[in-house]
Amino acid sequence: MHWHRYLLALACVLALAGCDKAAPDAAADAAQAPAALTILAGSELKDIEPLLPDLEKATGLHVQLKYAGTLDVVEQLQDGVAYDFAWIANNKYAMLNPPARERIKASERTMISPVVLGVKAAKAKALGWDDPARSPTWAEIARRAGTGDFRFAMTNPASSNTGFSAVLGLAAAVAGKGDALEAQDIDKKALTAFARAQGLTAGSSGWLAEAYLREQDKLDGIVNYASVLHGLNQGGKLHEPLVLVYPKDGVITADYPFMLINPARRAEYDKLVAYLKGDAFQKAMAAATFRQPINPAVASVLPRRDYFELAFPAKLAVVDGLLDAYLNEFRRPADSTFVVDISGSMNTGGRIEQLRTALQALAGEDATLSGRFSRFRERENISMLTFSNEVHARQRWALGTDRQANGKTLADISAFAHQLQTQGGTAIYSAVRDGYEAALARQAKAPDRVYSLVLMTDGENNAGLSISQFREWFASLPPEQRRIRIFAVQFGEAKRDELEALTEPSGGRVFDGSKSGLKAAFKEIRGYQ
Amino acid sequence: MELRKIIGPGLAVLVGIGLVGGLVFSAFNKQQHDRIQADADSVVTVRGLVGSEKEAFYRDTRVVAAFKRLGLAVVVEKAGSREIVARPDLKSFDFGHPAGAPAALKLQQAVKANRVFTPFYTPMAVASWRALVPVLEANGLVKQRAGAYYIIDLTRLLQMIASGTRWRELKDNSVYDTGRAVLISSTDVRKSNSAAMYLALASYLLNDSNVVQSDEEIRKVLPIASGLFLKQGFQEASSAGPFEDYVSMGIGKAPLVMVYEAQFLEYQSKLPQLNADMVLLYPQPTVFTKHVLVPLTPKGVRVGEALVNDHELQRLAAEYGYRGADTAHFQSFLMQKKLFAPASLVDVIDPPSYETLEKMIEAIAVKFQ
Repeated sequence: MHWHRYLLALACVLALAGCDKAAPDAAADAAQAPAALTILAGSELKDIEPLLPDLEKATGLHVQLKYAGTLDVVEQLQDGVAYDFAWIANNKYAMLNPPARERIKASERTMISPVVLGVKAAKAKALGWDDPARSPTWAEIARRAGTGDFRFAMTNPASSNTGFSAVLGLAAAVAGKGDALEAQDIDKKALTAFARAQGLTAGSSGWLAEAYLREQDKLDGIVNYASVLHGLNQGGKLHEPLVLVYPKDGVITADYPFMLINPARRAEYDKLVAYLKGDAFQKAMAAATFRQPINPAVASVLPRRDYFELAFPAKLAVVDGLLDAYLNEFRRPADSTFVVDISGSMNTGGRIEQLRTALQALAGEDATLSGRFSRFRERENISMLTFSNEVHARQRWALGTDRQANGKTLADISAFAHQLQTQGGTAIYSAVRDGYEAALARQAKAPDRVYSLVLMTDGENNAGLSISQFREWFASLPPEQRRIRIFAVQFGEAKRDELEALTEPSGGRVFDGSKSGLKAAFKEIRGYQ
Repeated sequence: MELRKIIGPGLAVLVGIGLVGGLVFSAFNKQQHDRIQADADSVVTVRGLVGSEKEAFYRDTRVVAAFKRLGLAVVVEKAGSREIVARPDLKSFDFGHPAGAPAALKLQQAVKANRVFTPFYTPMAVASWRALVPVLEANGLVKQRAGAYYIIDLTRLLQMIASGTRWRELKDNSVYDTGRAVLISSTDVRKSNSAAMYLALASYLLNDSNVVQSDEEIRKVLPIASGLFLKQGFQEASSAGPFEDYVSMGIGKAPLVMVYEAQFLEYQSKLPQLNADMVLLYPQPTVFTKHVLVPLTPKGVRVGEALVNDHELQRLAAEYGYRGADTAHFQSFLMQKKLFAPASLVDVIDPPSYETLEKMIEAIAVKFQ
């Protein structure tokens, strides 16, 4: 079949690209719609979504982004979850983690955004931080935080890259050595002072920015990407513009590396990288997200500023040690209430077993990376209320700083979770009110803790208070008593709209426990507590 | 590829129906077909694993065309030069082209290659910023001679790094007001050649201007030499990383970066106009990075021969800032792009033997744990 070979050569010449590729493959590719290339993406990258149609058009490749938090991405890489590519804000933590690093076959930066402090204009002026030529050092920021001069919103450093970068930047700067941080250089006093001023926490940078809009009158600023802060300033929803404060001694910058995970996708990877670094994408991205282009030839929308970049630690143990210390020692201790549904319906489909495992994971029986950073912490107060048509158990535990005693307490919590049994109907809102009132009473005595309440339910409310009665009660509370955030895990037949009505007035949110399971949902919520 | 998308479905149909294929065939000029046939038959695909700094060279369409003229379709993947030899899929390549003689030597031993090729080389240099030059000059570290900037006292610069000197503590420094320690950023010494060359240079100076050979000498230089890398914190595996920091994040991230001269020249030559803020400092002495191609198969040998002997490929290598056996290419490249680089560097040291360098790197790697 001589003509056949001519044709292949001809097709190669015409197609220009990939002459070494056997033509039958190309024919097969064309015959069926190409399968989507999978990208495990940091949740920050949701703002890239509108640019994907152009990317697909230009590259002829079909991509599908699956979003996760930075730590979650590292864990999935470590666990060998199959993806073609990964794309996150910063991969240095992943590169320090040998099993995750092993899976990264190539990595190319795509855009730039430093993590900085946004401070309300009047406050920045009062603190003398409004002049870029006289930016404060991290030590100065920590000092002002410690004296109560300003309160800010920041994500949980173990769940999200912005909180992580800020804490790392602070730690590296106040260590005062001017080079890479080592464990013995961590300045506990400065970090504790800084952490005291964290008035709002969240598990993701995007959600934090939204929560800031809601609570902006109670805060003086927010830690986030410079690009996000610029977006807030442009968005028209701020009561007062934010001054972007780049600490004088430096910051940690996100560089959004695009990584090859599946080595069989090398050719597609090269094509995507070329597109992502090219003028068209860089321009569109800068306009849509305000991040700085990696390509120095493309103009930045956000005015370029000179700033110093701090060194990222070379050792995993230093980073992990800092995160553990932040959660255990530096941050304001949490008071976390869990209101859990043990009604009859929890008996179906292994739900009660999932609940037991999820709570036991928080009590320390989860050896994974996310398990390590989501477990109950030193100095944390835990309350658990179980309910069906009435409240059954009201259990409280107080964790201290003694490791041995904490081990015993965690074992108690685990045992409590293990013996949970189902029974009766579902009086959701009476139980939440019960838990909330108890938390308010504790808050009145110890206002410095970070209070939150998590409801887990799998069904419809069929006893006690209705959702509207609950909302009426909540609205009747004085404003300062409406600040304990209520989170809800939607599970089984639970009604999403009712749970949203429950969480919304407190500034909380609903997490879906049905898709990824209760354990994952509880771990995610830990970033918000 | 839009074109390919359109051609693709058409092709599927054509392959299915032989008759139509025949029709298309007859519509074409016979001579043209013979040429396509000949090309398709004679071009062999050769796969190479190359140091990241040479990726752009290998992918340049003119380089691809020059190889094609010689019957070669060279497909490359990039890797950290020191990682190449450890790649589990090394066998699937026809050649390795790391940066640096020591990494190449190790590869040569590992794959038992009889012949190696050194088509070009580049000196190690420190990329910095015009704004910093007066500070470096005032502190006796840098001096301008015949148009080029030389680091005249690298030993003292290394000692400053070792003792944690801050930029703020430098004399006459009003431009870089920071408590950051003076550091030369480099790649990860465990992975990449450019950092290994930095180590080669530093160890020579710390050993009283002698190439390190004995274990005793290693012990002597290590305390300071390891600090040069540990103090940097996290490092990128390939040389593109720190250089990318230099160009995209600028002076705030990267005041001093150990680079290949070629990297700097190539970057500048491609800008619409030269970036006058960027300057290249030549350490005195310096060390050359030889780009040694190690064939793994006979097809790899052909690539090595082509790079060394083909005039066009040598000329193109010069456009990437490399210096070759014939300096004319490099000189005309500089002239054409209005770039400056010293015609020859006289004070050049040899890197330590592969084993010695490896021992030093391993000792530093332990300290990273």
